[in-house]
Amino acid sequence: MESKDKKVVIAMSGGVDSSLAARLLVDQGYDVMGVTMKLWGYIDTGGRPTHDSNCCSLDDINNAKAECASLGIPHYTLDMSAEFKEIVIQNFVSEYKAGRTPNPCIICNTEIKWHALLNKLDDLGVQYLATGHYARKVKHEASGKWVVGRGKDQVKDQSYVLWGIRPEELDRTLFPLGDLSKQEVREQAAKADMRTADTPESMEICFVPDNDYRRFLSEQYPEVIEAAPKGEFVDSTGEVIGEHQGIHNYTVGQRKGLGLATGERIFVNKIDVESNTVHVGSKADAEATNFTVNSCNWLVPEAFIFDQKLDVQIRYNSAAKPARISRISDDEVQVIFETPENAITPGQSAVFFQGEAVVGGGIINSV
Amino acid sequence: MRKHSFFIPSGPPFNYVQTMKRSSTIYLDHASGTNLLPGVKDRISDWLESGMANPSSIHQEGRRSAADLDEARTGIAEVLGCKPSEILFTSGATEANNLVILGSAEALRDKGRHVITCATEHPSVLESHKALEKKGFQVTYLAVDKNGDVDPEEFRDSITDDTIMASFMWVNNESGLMHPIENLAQIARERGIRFHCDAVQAFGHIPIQMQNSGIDSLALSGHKLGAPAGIGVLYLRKGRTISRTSFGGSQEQNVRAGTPNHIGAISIAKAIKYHAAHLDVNTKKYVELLTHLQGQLKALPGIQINRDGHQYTPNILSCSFRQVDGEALFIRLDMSNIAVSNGAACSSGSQAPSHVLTALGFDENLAQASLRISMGIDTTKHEIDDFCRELEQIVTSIYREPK
Repeated sequence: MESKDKKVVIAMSGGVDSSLAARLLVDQGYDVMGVTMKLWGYIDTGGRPTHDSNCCSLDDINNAKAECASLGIPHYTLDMSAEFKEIVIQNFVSEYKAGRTPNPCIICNTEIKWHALLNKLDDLGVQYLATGHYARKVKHEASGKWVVGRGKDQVKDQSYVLWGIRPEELDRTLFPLGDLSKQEVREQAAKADMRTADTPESMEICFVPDNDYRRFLSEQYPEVIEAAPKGEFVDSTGEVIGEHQGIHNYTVGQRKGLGLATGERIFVNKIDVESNTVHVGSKADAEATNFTVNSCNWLVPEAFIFDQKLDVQIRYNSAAKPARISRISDDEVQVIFETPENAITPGQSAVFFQGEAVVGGGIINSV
Repeated sequence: MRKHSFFIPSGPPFNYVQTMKRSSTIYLDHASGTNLLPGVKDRISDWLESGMANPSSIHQEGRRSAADLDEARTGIAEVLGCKPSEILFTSGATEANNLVILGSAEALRDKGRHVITCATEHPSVLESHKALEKKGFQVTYLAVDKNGDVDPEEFRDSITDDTIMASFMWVNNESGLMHPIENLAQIARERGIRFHCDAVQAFGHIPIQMQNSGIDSLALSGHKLGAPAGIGVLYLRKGRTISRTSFGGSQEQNVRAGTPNHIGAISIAKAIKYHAAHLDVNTKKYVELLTHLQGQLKALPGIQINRDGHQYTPNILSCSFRQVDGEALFIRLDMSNIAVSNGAACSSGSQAPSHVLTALGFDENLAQASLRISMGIDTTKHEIDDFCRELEQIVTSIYREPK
């Protein structure tokens, strides 16, 4: 498939996954260089660098450097913080401002780790980009196209966050860990005596290391927060039952931290930015079968997608469920699940699967 | 060809660019660190065989070490035209700059609290001044013009009754620009303030004599001269007391505690003597190489050669490329096994824009896409030709026409 005398850049976070991916590429005979992208600094984001970090700190960069040195390959640090701030953080802030729940890792993958980095690699004369994601490249049988496919490790599978890779950029992509489980990765890293073998999992948003996005917004974008007025909580009967603290504080499906004493379990089921209203109700009130998706990326021709049978995954840690999709306009499609789904959340991604193959995806717009 | 690599991380050589026909490094980063001089290398080999005793010990071996150290000190004093007791060994120029800036300010704090330096100094000088600010001193960072020149009259005007000290580098490490040090030192002398000079990049290119000079202290560094890293010299004029900042033994005139690095001291003395003796012949060679280099660089797309100031040393050339991505430029150069700097060597490994070029008014992109090419005594015309050929290939392939 890919010619091994070509140069490959492995994007390295300083953790075990990308470090082992680098080693596997070297073992397979590729001509490999390690790159760590500096995406942000703690100075810009706050938080407690010594406690919370496991990505992007100087330690992580040094880990990546040391792993490369032990493999005898070069390592470079690329400062992508301007692009990251302009694209990923701006999107994060404006989505919360619009009462939506963004997934910044997906924007980062699409626009920074792939698009901006591959533009850099063009200048370096490097054809291929590899990452330590648990995903594969699989052939979509009907169309014959190579697409993103689920990783072998069903628990770690990260194909959901890779729907945005442009098809021509996917052609330049390698996923060395796609056929491995996390446990196998750790075992191989330990066997090779790698210093990153025991690095902890990173679960949080990298620029919000304490997982407190409200703190991040209020410290870094106080003007956004101050301009977000309080408003009304409205229940399923249309009755006002309390005052909310600004819509950026709420996410569809949220139960905790509402400050409402109603005697029953109530959830946020809709955020209306126009009227500055947060709608709450029972879990059943938050169920829906229809929603729209925009900002789509298609990995196979549309004829293989619209009105075809496929499965749609609406959040990182849930299963894909059967649905059909149809086009509404040039930039929006409609998804109809066979059975109702709970808490379909605007701002999150809807990813379209056929079997193991990601055929496309987009951002949930309205429910 | 580079033969020694004591400061380059070990590992197999990289060979990524298929068009590359060389297997050896083109090393044009001598201002960051240069090869050991052959005489120095031999002396270190002897020492590795024989070992060396502590010069403070009372036995014969110790006395032999003390005599070696004394000989090194005397040799350096002869070259600089000063007394051996005015030569102190440190771990490098960073320590020398730190010791003298912090120690002088402390010793003179009853006389005043104002000190003067310049925006384009080395970090070891700038950060020492920031430390002084925290201790309650007031610091004037003189601005430079678009070439990096300091105006002596501006310096004169910035001196107040409260001023106790000024620090200026002789030659800027990123651009090679020479500051009018004797002139500045004379102004300091007239106004009765102490004058420190970081001469790391000047020695070997400018004759430096301490007698009849207005300079009160001066710092030199071993690894820029062909001695190993880890040794520096602080010239401190007799009678200029400085407060101690390190505590222990009474070595180095009671200024710098700790057993001296005596193989380092012997090495730097050899290097200093070599450079003093070969100043004219080396300068002539650097001027020829520089002319050759500049002639070839001029044709490159987007290039600007940063050499419009008053005077420059001939071994350093700074140039910048418009419409070129700095990160890509440096990675491509490294992939082609070419060693040059983006401004000074950076300890963090990521490229922050140079504070020197920023002080000259460069925008961030241009500062990032700037090369410091620095030659050493074994640089050849052939190496310059190879470098220019590869640089042209790289710049041509990453140059983007302005939109």
